[in-house]
Amino acid sequence: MDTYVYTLLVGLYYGMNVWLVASGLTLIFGMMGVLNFAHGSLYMMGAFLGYTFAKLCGDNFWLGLLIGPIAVGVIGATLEFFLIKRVYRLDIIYQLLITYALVLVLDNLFKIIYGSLYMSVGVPIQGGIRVLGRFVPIYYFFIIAVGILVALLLWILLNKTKLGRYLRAAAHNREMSSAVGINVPRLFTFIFGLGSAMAALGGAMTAPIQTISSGMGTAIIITSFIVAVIGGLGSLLGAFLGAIIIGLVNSFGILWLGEMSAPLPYAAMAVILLAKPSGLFGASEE
Amino acid sequence: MTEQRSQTWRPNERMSSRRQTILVLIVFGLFAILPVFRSDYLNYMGMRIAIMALFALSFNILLGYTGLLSFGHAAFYGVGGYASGLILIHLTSELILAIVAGAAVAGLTALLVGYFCVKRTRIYFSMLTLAFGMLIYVVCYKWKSLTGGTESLGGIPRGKLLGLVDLFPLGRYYFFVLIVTALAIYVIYRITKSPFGLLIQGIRDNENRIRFAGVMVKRYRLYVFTIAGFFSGLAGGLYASLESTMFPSICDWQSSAEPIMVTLVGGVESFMGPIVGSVVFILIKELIVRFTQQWLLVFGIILIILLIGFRGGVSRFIERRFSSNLPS
Repeated sequence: MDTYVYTLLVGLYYGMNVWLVASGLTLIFGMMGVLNFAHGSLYMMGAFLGYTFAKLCGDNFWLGLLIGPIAVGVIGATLEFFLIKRVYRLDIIYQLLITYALVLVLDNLFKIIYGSLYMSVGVPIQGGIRVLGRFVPIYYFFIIAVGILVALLLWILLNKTKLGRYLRAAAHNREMSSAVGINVPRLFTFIFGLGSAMAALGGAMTAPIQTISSGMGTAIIITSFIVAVIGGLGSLLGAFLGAIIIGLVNSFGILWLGEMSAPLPYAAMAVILLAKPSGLFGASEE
Repeated sequence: MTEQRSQTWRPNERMSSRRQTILVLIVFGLFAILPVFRSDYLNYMGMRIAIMALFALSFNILLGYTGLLSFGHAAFYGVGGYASGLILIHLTSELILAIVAGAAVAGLTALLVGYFCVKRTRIYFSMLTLAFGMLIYVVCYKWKSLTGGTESLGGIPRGKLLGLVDLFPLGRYYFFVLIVTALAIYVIYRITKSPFGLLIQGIRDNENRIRFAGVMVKRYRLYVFTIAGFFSGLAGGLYASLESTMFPSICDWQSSAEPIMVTLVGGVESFMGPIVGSVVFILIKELIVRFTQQWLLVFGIILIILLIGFRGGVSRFIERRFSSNLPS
C-alpha cells in the first residue's frame, strides 16, 4: 500500500512538471494555432536562468524561482514579437520548422554559455513527511501544489477576467475581435510570454531534483506533445488531466513493468490519435 | 483553429527536361570524378551527401508529392540500417543482399506503421508518425540483446560485392554508394512521373476529387508510405556500412527533423530540391564545424533566415535563374 501511495505522489509530481510545459504549449496552440517546438527550450532556459539569478541574489533559490520565469517570459514575448509572429499565416510545416530552428539556436546557445556539463541545484525545502510509513520529500508536495495553483490561476484568468474574455474572443475569431477593437497581436505576444514563463517555472522549480543540462528541453517537449495530444490539442483541461495520466502511466509503469514501460506513453499517444484524434477532452473533430 | 490550410506543393515542371537532364548529368559527373582526388575525406563527404540525398528524397515522396508531413521518418532509416548491419554481422557478407533485405525490412515496418498512420491526415498524421517513430526508437534503445542499446551496434562490415570485390576500401565503397544511390534516385524519379505518381499528386491537390473518381485514397497513401520507408531504409543500410556503427538516436525525432530541414532548404516543390538541400546541408555543417562545435546554432540561424526570407528553397532560386525566359 505504501508503495502505491509513493508511486502515486511521484506520478503526480512528474505530471505537474510536464503540465507546466504542456499548458503553455496548449495555450499557444489553442490561441494561435502554432505547435511550438521551442517550448521545451524555454523550460530549459527557466532552469538555467533560475539557477543563475539564485546565485546572483546570494544563493536565494526563491528569488531565482521568481525572477527566472519572468525573464524567460520577457524573452518569450520578444521572440514572439520579432519572429514567431511571422509564421502564423504560414503552413504548419513552416511553423514546426521555424520553431525547431529556434530549438537548435537556443539549446546550442545555452550549451556555449553554460558548457555541456550537468549541473545540480540544492533542494530548497529539506525534510519530508511520512506517508503510511514511507518517506516523501516535502518538495514533491510543493511542486504538486504549485502545479494545481497555476491551473487554478489560469482558469480564473481565462474565465473570470476581462482579459480572459478578450483572449477567448481572439482565439475564437481573430478578424472579428480586431474589428471590435481588441488588439489581437498584443494579446498573442502576452500569451506567448505567459506560456514561456509557465514552462520556465516548471524548469526552475524542478531544477533541484534533477540535473540541468542544455538538452533537457528536447526530452520534455515530446512528453508535452504526448500530453497535449492525449488531452486534445488546444484543450487546457485536457492538458491538465493528460499530464496527470502520463505522470501516473510513467510512475506505475516503472513500478510494474520496469524497463518495459518506456514505450507506454508513445503507445498511449498513438492509440488516442487512432481512436479519438480530438483527444480525451478536445472539442473539435478532425 | 478551424481554418484548413490548403496543401499546395507543386513539384516544378517549369524547367525544360533537356536542361534538367543536363543538370543531373553535371551533378552525377561531379560525383563520379570525386575519387580522382584520391582523398578519403572527399569520398566520405560525397557519400554523406549521397546518402542524405536519398534519405531526404524518400521523405519528400511523402511531403512534396503526397502532402503528408512525417515526423518519424528516421525510424525507417534506422530500421534499415540496423537490419542491414545485423545481416552483415550474422548472416552474409554479400552487401547488395544485406542492404536490399534491410530496405525490405524497413519497407515492411513502414507498411505496418503506415497502416495506422494513413488513417489520419495533416497535423494528426504528423503526430502519429512522431509517436510510432519514437516507439521504434525506444525498441532500438531497449532491445539491448539485438541492437546493443546505447552501447551501439558496432563492427558492421562493408562486405563484398558478388563474393569477389572487397568493398572495405573507402574509394571502392564510394562507387557502390554512388551507383546504388543513383539507381534509387532514378527509380524514385520514374515513380513520380508514372501514372501512380500523378495520382498521388492528385490526392495531394484535391483529395475529394480523386476519391470521387473511385480511388481508394488511404490505400494509395499507404503505398507511398511503404515506398518512402523502403528507400529510407536503403539509405540507412548504406549509412550503417559507411560508419560501421548504428546508434538508437539515429531513429529519434531529432534525426527525423533532418530530412525535413534538408528538403525545405533545397525546396519541397522540385524533385531536385532534397538533393540540392543535402549538398547545402552537409557543406554548411562541414564549414561551420571548423569554427564551433555548436554548429547547429549557426545552422538554426541560417534556417530561420531561409524559412522567413526564401521560402521555396535554394533549388527554386536556381530554377528561376535557369528558366528566366519562361513565364512564372
